[in-house]
Amino acid sequence: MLSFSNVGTQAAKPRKKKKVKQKYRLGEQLAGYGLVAPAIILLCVFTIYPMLYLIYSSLFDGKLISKKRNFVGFENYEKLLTDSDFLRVISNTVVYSILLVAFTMVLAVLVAVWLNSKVTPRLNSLTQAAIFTPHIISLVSASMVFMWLMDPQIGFINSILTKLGLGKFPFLASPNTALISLVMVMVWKSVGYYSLLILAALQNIPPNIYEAAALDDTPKVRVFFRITLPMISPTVFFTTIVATISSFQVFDTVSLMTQGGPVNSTNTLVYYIYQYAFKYMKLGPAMAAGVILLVFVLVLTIIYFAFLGKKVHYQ
Amino acid sequence: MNPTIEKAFHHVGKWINILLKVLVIICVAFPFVWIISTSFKTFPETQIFPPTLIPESLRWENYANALASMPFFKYLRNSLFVAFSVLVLQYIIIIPAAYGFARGKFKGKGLLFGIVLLGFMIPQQVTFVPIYMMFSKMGLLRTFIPLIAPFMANAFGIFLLRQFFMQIPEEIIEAARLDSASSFKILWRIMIPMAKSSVFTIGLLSFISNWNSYFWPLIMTSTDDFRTLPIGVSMLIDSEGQKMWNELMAGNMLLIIPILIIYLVANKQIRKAFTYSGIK
Repeated sequence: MLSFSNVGTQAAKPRKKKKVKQKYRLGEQLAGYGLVAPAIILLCVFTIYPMLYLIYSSLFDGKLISKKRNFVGFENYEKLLTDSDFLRVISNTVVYSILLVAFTMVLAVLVAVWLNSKVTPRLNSLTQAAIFTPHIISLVSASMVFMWLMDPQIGFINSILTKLGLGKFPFLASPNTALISLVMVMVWKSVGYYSLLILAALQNIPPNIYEAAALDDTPKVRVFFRITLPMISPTVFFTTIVATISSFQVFDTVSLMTQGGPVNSTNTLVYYIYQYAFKYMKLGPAMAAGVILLVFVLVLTIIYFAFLGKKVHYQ
Repeated sequence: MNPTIEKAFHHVGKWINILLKVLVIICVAFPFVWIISTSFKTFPETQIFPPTLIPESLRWENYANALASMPFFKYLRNSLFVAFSVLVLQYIIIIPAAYGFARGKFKGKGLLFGIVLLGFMIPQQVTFVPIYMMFSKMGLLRTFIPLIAPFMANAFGIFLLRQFFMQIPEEIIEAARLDSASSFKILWRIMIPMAKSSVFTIGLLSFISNWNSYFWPLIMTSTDDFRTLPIGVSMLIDSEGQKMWNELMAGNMLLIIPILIIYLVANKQIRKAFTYSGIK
């Protein structure tokens, strides 16, 4: 991301100067360890250990409360990957993620470019403030108001659709439309946030690049595809990865609006883990599904840092 | 083209632009309007199709009913306690850590910072079952600790502050050392005041995310003594067979009003803070 990579390059410079091996003084070393120790201990307890425990216990069969565990090897994974319900969960999650990220990113880029114009500066900042508002309210409230707006019988959105002669849309009530309804809620909630990040990148483009295009009378669409988009593409790329990682963790809207239904059409990975661990009390599938989520997050993270490293290198 | 026609086109274009922006604002803000509108309606009024936008009269009793159908003040107190505890305790952990990573000279710094990065990238949606089991084994589930402790070593905060501390020129610290200032004094008197805006940003983001949090308290709490406001409001929906949308929306108003007030007062700072959070 923008701020990330900028800071990254600044950070890299002073380090390179001091390539000569330093001799660390003992007192200084101890002070250093003392400063970082509390944070490192907490991170080990709440991130590293749970992560390792997750991987380890995915090889066992067991219940949340009882201590009895049997080693089953990769059986949990085998069961999951041959279970049609779980495959449905994976495909739901992937479809949800692709739709959400695609809608959000396209809209965010368009909105950001639109609000970056100098035509109506006051209205632009007002619009920006308005579209960002959904991002800071609780997903509890967002989910509830959308359940109400999307009510299949008496909801406000259906009253508008009826008035336009389009007929009622079933939203959360039908397995065909429930997942896309959840996507709509999250698009409303997150477009403002992602357009804010992209707007920051747009404002970092040096204005003299545009001046040359203005001299040539280049059409605006062409300026967008030839200058603007390439200049913000690193930010768009990193933002897309971050958005994908976070969309894979969808839980709140599922838990509040659909509980995975109707007929499993909105059951997603984290909700599945939650159900197996806390409702069905079966740890094996929950842990194995957790590892699958972990692998996914790690792969995307590695891609993120690989490209980040490249970008810093070439600058 | 005739210059007057061109000017007219430009003018029309500008008005279309303004109109579209106003339309976008209305669409995005509409759910908020709908929460407010519904929260003042009578129950029969919510069942009318097509629905009305303006309530017949302001039914304040919806708010009273929402307050009465949950231990609201207990939830509010829990929410505030958790949010402020995390806010204060994380500073004690992350400020020294960030300073250590920025300025400290010790072996294995890179490796230890790798742990911070890992903490930053691994979401709690991956590790929540093992963390729950850990708290369960330690007998801590009926305390506030599961809601506070996992957020104290805020990896994002360490990362952001470290970047800031690294940018402070070495000369300033050298000068302070020559005046024989202790490391603690350097941190407390020089580094923190200079990093004020980053410290503020971290606090703001942490408060908002704790106030809104649903996933974590849902998993870690099982009694009203520890439940936070979002959980309380979400439970309003289970408690009735038919959905009393007027009371539900009133309950949600109670949850979003504090955040909206903060946003009205500090919307520029909040947006700036979230721009930094784009790292994640």
